[in-house]
Amino acid sequence: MSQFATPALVGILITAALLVITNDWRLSFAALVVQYVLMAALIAQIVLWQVAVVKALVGVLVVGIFSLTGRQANFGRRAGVDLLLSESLRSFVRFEFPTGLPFRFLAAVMTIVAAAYTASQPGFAFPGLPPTLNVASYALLALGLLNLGLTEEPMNAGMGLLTGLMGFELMYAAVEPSLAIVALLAAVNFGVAMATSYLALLRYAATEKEPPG
Amino acid sequence: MAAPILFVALPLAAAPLLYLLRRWRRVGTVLAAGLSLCLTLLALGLPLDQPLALLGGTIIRSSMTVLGRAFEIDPVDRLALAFVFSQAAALFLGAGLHGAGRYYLPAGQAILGLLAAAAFVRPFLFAALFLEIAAALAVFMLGDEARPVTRGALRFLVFMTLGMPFILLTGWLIEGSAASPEDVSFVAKATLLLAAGFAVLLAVAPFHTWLPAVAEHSPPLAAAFVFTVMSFIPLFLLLSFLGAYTWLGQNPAVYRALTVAGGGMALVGALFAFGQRNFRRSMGYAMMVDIGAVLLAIGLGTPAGAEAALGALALRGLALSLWGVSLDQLRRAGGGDDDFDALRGLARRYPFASTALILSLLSLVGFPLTAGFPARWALLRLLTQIHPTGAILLLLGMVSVALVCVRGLGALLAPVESGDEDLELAPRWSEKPSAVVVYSLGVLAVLVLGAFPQWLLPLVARTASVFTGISQ
Repeated sequence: MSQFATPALVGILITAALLVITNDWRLSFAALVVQYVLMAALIAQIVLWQVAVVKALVGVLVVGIFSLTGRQANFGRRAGVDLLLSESLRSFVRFEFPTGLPFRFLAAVMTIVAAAYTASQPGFAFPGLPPTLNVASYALLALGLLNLGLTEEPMNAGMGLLTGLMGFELMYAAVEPSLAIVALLAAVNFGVAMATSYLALLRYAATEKEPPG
Repeated sequence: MAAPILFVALPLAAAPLLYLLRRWRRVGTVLAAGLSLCLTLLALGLPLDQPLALLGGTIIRSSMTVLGRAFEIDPVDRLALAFVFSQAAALFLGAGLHGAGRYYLPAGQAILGLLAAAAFVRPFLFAALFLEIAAALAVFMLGDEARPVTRGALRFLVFMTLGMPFILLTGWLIEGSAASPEDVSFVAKATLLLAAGFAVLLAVAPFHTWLPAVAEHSPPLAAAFVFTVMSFIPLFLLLSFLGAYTWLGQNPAVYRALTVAGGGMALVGALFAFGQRNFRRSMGYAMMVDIGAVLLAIGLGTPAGAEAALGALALRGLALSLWGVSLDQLRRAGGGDDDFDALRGLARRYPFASTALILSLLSLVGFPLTAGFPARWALLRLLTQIHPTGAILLLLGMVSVALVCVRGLGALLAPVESGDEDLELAPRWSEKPSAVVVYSLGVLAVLVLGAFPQWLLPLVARTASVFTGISQ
């Protein structure tokens, strides 16, 4: 699996940065599922391939939970706002990006650079992990925290939390490979996904009660 | 049969049943509270690893293994479980009066099962994972469907999730330390990681922001459940760590850090509570002072300190369940608002709820003649001998919250302004008989336990004595 390590690392950095940059749920869900699969590909270097497959499946199911929530909550868009847009404008604004897009982009790039530098320092590199996994785990942890710092919206915060958890799982897989911990970490992923989905639905219901505009 | 299954699986199995019974609120309440009480009694008295004549000679084992991980019940676990389940029973009973959301009882029961698993798992570092799953479930009870502001529940989940990795990574460092005992860097790193993890899990400032947010934006009983039941296990874990690892339990720097953290919490709580004019936010800051008191008590590094900490924790549930039910009543009467101005004059219509609300806050503060006083008094006496600054900071926090209580009482007793037709036309006394009975029993319990603390303190002392590793 080591020949896929560098492409998987690049992919993980792109998807995690995309989760910071965009706040469109559909793009974020796609990025998150790709991120889970790439994380599983990376982690396969140090654990049994069956465990890696389980981690990928957990990711697919987590994004499934998010997608179901997204369908119920109009993917985070207010129905009233959609009605206000003309047909041509609606096709133009297919995806939503936050107003601070350049700031978010720069912040994501700086975070990745800082994480890569930290992971390459002997005092901070996690022993027993290949360099690609070290960089990936630091970058995921840092970008997850950055995402959490930039949003109070439950769905995006949930994806930030899960990104951070993925970074921790990469790190922790080298330390604790037991099946019980794999199962419990999967339960943690499901728990976070369900809890943030519930909060996203509550928030969506509250915004729908307000008049658009 | 293994006892861990009993304490973990029974509450988890009851959760879906309670969700199905959500339309029959009182049946659900009785079932949830009854199950919690039964488990409290079993935790205290169930004989383990010996034939039970009552069950035809069946032996209930004290340990079991799941996927290579051991789950064991120690004597200290049994006392911790008794604390958690009994406080949960009181909090569940509160839901019978006004309801507390459709997820309150089922999520509460499931959380109890997960907290039991957290207490049993060995090595107990893995308790952090069960705590995190329990935190995710707690979000369902903290989300208020009537007033959906998600900030408190989300912050709670985020902080609980951020605290977990620190505790888990400590295990790796402890193993490293065992493999090469001459390398002290492992122990130093493990201590730092544990400090960071517990600071996040115990809401030590600056990680405290979820406390007032949960208190303000979540249903009062759900917030009380999280403050009481969910907060107990991290503190229990902290005591277990101090007792189990000599490099931690006999490190004076650890106790100094706990004292600083506790004093800081009391001071920050005092500063923020002082200007409050809202009962729910006030409770958030009162909790900060209370957590500060518990940390100061553990920071003393003596069995007497551990006893004072557990005494405060044991009576927190009583005060908070009374606060939850009484505030729920007054909040409804105030049109969903719990600012002092919105509740003006309600003591005339709801005298029992108002008394219960004020007394519960005062008990949490440790006001004389209330249930919270004996443990707080004992702690203050210990602090004045060992850390006088800590005693002053704690006293400051207590006075600040007590002043808020006085202001709240003033608002509740204030005469209704002329022109407020709703209040003027409302009947003079609006409390249901069942509510009056519940508030009266709660108030009586707070006063009686304040007057006769010896009924509860031996159990607290027994629990504290198990943490023998705590000594400077």
